[in-house]
Amino acid sequence: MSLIELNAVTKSYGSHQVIYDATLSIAAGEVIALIGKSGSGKSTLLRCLNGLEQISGGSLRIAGTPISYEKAKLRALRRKVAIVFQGYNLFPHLTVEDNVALAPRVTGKASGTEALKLAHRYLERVGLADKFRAHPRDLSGGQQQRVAIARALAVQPEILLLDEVTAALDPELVGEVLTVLGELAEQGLTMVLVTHEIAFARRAANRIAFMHQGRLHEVGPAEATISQPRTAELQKFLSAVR
Amino acid sequence: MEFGVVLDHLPLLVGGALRGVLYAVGGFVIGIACAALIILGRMAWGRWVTIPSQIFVEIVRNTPFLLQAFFLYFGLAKLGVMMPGYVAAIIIVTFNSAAYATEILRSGMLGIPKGLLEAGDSLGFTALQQFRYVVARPMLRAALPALSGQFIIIMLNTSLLSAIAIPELNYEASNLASTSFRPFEVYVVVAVIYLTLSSVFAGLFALIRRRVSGSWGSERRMQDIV
Ligand SMILES: Nc1ncnc2c1ncn2[C@@H]1O[C@H](COP(=O)(O)OP(=O)(O)OP(=O)(O)O)[C@@H](O)[C@H]1O
Ligand SMILES: [Mg+2]
Repeated sequence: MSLIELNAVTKSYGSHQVIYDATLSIAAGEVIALIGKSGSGKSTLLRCLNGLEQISGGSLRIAGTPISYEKAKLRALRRKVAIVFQGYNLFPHLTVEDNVALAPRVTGKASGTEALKLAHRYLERVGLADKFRAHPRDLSGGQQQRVAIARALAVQPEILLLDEVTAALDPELVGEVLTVLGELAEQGLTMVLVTHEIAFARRAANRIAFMHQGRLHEVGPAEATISQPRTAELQKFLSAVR
Repeated sequence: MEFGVVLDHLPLLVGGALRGVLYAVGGFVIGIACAALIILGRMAWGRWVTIPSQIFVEIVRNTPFLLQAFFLYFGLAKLGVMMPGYVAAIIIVTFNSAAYATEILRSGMLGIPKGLLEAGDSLGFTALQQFRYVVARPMLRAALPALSGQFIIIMLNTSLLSAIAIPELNYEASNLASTSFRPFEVYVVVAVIYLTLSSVFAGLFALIRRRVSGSWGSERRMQDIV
């Protein structure tokens, strides 16, 4: 059974339709890269997966459960589906370890020390063992983004969503975040990531989904889709970003 | 100039001032707590709390303090709702503090980046957890300067409570002015007392601000974030 099942999903803002007929099944352990031009609907589709955006039509099932926008159900969903944003969105008034420990402590019912231990484990995993007590403002962009990834992982989600997590980073910092993502992929975490890093998508993702004008225009195995795009739109997109 | 007789009665004036401050501090603390609850309620239940609470805020902010005091103390008495002056006074100060603090906290909250709220939502926080762990501190921090100013206005407004027979500084001063026939000297001393109180509280708020910001970054950096 697939972990994420989109069936003819649509999304409109008022009369402005942004997602058309999105149908896609994602299996547990799969890594899917969403690529496409600016405004093609990648972020919107991604945000539908953890209920930050409400779908307008079609059906969406996560781990077999149809999505519900009732508050308690949404909170339960978000413990299964974590998200990392382009702008990190770390809590500025908390230390790095508290940023990561907060959710396990207040929603996961871990004790303070358990939550901290968990936080340390995930911070070590993203290579920040020396930054537990630092404040977000004292970290580089790449480090902040890795804290954000650790914070999402500490919820122990089944699915991790990532929206252009390297886009705000200086080129020399992109590598450290991509390394972490590559490791997570190898460990079998299910991930859906919006990215402009075509080379990374090709290497780390199992499948690539190319979005064009609100549609999943071309979906296929990563390597083949990049090396032999079938549609003219994807060919054009790839030659433009290279 | 004859300050001797005023200074002889200084304990009387200081006692009045302390009573005024007591009303101001008590009402302000309860008022901020109410304002925080209003904001939390708005986050949890949306317009079911927003609409009635905004009506309350607008009424309080758009009618004179003195009129509110008269209404509660004399107006309601005509309807059979009697209350001692000190109860009316604490209610008035609390309502005013709550109304202004609600507006101040709301604008403090507007400065919190939408992304932080989405981050809290995405971690599965309830409205209460979101308020407590994500919103409260940045909101309060952004609101502190305005709250400080508002407190001083409310403290000075307690001088109007003499109109409903609360024996605060202004009340004691009027009495002393007429019995001593030294109104000029009396009111000079009263002004000095009010100025002193205002400066003390402004300093206190500055201290609180320094403490809050000290624990998480300099002013300049915070403006980038909040
Ligand atoms: N809250 C909103 N209200 C109205 N329209 C929106 C909203 N959010 C997104 N849109 C519109 O939806 C379309 C898709 O936006 P989306 O952010 O999903 O694109 P994207 O593929 O992520 O683009 P980018 O690469 O620039 O991030 C755009 O036309 C955008 O203007
Ligand atoms: Mg986007």
